[in-house]
Amino acid sequence: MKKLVVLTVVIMLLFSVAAFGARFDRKETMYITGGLWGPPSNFNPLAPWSAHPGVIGGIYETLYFYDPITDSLSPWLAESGGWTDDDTYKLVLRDNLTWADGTPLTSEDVVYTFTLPGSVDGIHYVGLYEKFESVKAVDEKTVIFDFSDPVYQEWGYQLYQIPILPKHAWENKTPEEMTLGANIDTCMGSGEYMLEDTAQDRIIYIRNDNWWGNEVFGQPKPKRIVCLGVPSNNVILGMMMKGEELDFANSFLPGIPAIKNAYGIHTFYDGEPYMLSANTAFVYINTTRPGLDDPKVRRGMAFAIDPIRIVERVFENMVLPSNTLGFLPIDGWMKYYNEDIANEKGFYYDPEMAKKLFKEAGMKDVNGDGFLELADGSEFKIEIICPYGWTDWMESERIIAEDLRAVGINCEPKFPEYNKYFDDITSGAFDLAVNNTNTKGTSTPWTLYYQIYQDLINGRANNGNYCRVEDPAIKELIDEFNRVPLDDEDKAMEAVSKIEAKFLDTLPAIPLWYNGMWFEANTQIWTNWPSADSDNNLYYPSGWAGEWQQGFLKILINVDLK
Amino acid sequence: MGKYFRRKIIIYLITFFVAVTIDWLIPRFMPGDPINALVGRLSNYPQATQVAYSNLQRAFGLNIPLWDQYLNFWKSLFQGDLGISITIFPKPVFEIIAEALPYDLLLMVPAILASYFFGNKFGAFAAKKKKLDNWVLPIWYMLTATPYLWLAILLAWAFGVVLNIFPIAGAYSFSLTPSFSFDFVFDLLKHWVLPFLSLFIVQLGGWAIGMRNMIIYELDADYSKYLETMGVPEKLIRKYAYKNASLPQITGLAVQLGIIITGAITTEIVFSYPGLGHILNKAILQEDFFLIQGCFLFIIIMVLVANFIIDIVYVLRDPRVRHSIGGEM
Amino acid sequence: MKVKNEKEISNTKEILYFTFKNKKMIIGMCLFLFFLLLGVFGPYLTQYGPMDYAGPGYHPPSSEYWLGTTFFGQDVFSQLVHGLRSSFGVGLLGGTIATLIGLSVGFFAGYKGGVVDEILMMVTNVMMVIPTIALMIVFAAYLPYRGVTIQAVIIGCTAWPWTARAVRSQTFSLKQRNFVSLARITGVKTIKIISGEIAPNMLSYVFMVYILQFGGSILAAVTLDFIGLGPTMGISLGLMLENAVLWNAIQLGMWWWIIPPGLAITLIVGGLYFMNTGLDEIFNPKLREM
Repeated sequence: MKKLVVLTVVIMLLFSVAAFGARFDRKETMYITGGLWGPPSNFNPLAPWSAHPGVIGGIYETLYFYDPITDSLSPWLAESGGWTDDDTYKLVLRDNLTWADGTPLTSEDVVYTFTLPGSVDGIHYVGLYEKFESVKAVDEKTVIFDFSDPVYQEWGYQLYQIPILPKHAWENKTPEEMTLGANIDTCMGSGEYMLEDTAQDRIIYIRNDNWWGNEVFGQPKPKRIVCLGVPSNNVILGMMMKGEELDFANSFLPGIPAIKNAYGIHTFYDGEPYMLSANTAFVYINTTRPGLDDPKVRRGMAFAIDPIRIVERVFENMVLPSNTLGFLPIDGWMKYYNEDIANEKGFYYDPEMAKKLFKEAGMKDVNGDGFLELADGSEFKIEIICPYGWTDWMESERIIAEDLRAVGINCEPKFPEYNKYFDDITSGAFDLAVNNTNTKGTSTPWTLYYQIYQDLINGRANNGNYCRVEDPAIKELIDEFNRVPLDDEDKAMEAVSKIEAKFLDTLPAIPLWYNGMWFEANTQIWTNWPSADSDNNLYYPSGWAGEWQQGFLKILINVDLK
Repeated sequence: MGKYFRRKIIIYLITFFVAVTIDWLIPRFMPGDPINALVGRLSNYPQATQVAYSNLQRAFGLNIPLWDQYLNFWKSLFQGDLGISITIFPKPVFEIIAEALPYDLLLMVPAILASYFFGNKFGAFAAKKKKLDNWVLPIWYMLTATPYLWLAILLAWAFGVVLNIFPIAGAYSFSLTPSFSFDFVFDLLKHWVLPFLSLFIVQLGGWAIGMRNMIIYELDADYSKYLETMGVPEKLIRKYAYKNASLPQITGLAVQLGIIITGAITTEIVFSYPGLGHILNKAILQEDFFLIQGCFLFIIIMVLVANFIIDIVYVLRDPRVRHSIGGEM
Repeated sequence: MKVKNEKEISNTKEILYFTFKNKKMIIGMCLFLFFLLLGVFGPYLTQYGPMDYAGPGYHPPSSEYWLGTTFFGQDVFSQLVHGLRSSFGVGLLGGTIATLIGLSVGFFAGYKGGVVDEILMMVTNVMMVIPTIALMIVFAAYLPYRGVTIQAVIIGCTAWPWTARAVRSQTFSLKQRNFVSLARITGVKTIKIISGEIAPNMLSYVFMVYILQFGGSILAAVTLDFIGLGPTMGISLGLMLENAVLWNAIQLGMWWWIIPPGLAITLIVGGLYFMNTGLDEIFNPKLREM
């Protein structure tokens, strides 16, 4: 036993004096986290719901760059683009674009990408493809998109969503590989970075030194980006407190307001609310359930819930309560926010108002249990669900249920497992549910309404419309909005106002608070992070998958070594 | 000897068969549809959903009759194919587990062996000193009563946050890539200490108590008394007692394995140690049934293999077992 | 724990005497009763519900919040005393089920021997290999929401194998004794022999098994809670620990949130173990403290 101890000590000493080995040069490397949830597995740009951070944007680039903070769509691979008439969009690429393997990136690649759904099943932008009459390359640099059904809002969104694929590399793939493949060995794009290596808990990207954009935008500073899959948020907080282990995180870290200053952790706003808003958390209401099918009852519930309490208790004021329409506070959406309608028809926290609305709906406490019954005397008992383990939502849900009970609505918070939750909200087996699917910042609130009101497929609401509203009139209004050219803001305002009024009148979903664009950074190695206090450094700090072309690509160029 | 092992092996095979069958049932009999959840991430474009659904169903092998699925499962099992993870799509479950397993072994094997060794030694040592025994016994009892995860949390808080001398997350620094450099191995050891300690300390108490009780029984047994009256030195008697007492301890180890593995899972969660437990936790929270199935399969195999090793050790230490066919497994 | 001579336990007076003289027994009982009473009456000592937002978050222990508050400002003391109730509930129900199953299987296998023994032991071995969590996951998926009761039932239904094994070998050795053979020769039914002859002889042993199963169930529940398979409604000690870790209590140094729940579990289970050893000594004079 003694020998064992001695041996261990000797070995330990040996190791401690040994020369330092294979560490990346810290001054050339940026460590980021927040978007990698498990061992790296998917580098397929055609699977945006599963591809890792950096795949879209960092490796495979989009035609445009979109900045949600200033609501500006700026050319990236494109040099220019515009509608030449109502049905035709002309796109011109930049000069000297190249793929990482040296092959030029031309209009052929763009045509190939946008027409791929015609020959391969299961590509997610097939809906857009169906609205093309034709997509043709005029010369090396120019592509003409001819629309049979010009969907302006959607097009403006897809211009920065669809990554351009290298035709010469993708032609050899089978359809199966294209849609379901992991694309690890064949991951080659045109972007700032290239895939260098992966390990169980990380993706290592290495700078593409021959990137076409070096002269246009400047060279990104870090030679390597190590994208870490840190297992839990408390670990991320620990690394942030230590400092040199992590540069950039996109995670909700409880406690940031309390320790931010002591540990020098950088956030977008120096004080409250600390974070930009990323998406809106709604309480979706199943409008087919008895009682909940009455707009008065739904509106009454909206008046009963106090979002401020959620924001304070659960999020320590790191997020903001939502406005009455659920619009993110970004220019692209707020320019369509109709104040008059919001003031006239909107809701706010007022329990007395809630009680009044319930009374108008004919609800009263028949059996004297302290909770209201429906007008026909039947019991009104509802549940609110969110996935088990989503701790911030679970806490929020408890507060919501408490508020509803305070005005006489018998509401229980429940936490089913994620799959059951998902099954329930898609098949309509729920009363109330907290969700934020597809409410993230885009160039247009069309995406929000499209999501809330889209068609059910075989009775299932796989991608939205959890409220199960079946109203052709509102679908019509949304389509009308989609077809307004992007530059005709008056007409767009008119179209969207009709939707807003209808939304507030019927209120199938109650917007409550904005989930934060969680962003924490360390300044020990890299500085000049995006900040609300600087004028020229307002990039959207999202390193999440599929969002690098909304700010992170420019952050990488903009940061400085300390 | 041959007959004994043949019998053992048959028992193990049947156990394996039944356990694996139950394991197979897990993802198949779940009420929710795992593919629906995956397809649900296909945001925005409903048209793509249908196609993706059938593609995925084929990829997961769920579109054939149950009986064929069962046979296929066995077939692919022997090819090391456990299906595809849903949370870590489309990575094969086998690969995920193979990457995690070394960390489990690194943590559990030394912890079990060291606690077993030192626990038995301390227990036997204390058994002969009444005064010491009265002092340390309560401590041992409290140790075995401690939940692994709580001790892990305490160690993390005390040594990781308050004293700040050991890292409390991961198997190695995130600034390093795995390699065989001194730098890396040292870092690995530093991260290993606290999770190891939390497993080691809790188990230590159990073995010590077991051995202490056994020794007291053995010293009181007729043969010890007989030897004593024969004038055999006490040291020798104790040696015999220790040898005899260690046999039930070995069986105890086999019984404890399941609990130890579950304990290790929670420890890994506290320290974010990238082993099976950590992956299983994630799979449970995200309802990734194929990954859960794969994790359990490996846990089952680990328990069986460990049991088998214990059986062999038992036979080696106690030749009598060869003859007692009707005895305990 | 060897089988005791029947003469040793026949003398009730002697046992009672040693029970109250045995320090381990008394300490164990005190610990156990302390937490039991705390669980029963504690909720009346606090004005806050376990999930209520009682005050400011991150509040260290004070006269107002005896054990401080959680991240959200819930009262830790209130959570602790309510959590104790679930823990005792799980121990009682889970421990009882596990003991009953383990005893029945063990007795029966040991007494009948042969094919019955082979089959029962096979089932026992399989149960030993399948992790509790596996069954928990399956059940969890079928039940819309998990409660403490169902958790206890599942723990009980999976924790019995070691008891079955131990009881089986005890029965084996008892079976060889004269009084049992005598009963068998005179044609008494199996059940009668088990309940009339063997079981009483193992009563002390059964009692000790029950204590261990009680404690084991509490520990198992904490583990399940912690990995996300706890009750979806209400509070338990395991859930407190899970929440503490998830909400960064370790990094933020909120010791008042992480120490009490674990300490309570350790002391309760430790107390049970003390009682177990104490009992062992009472029934088995050779082990008695000098």
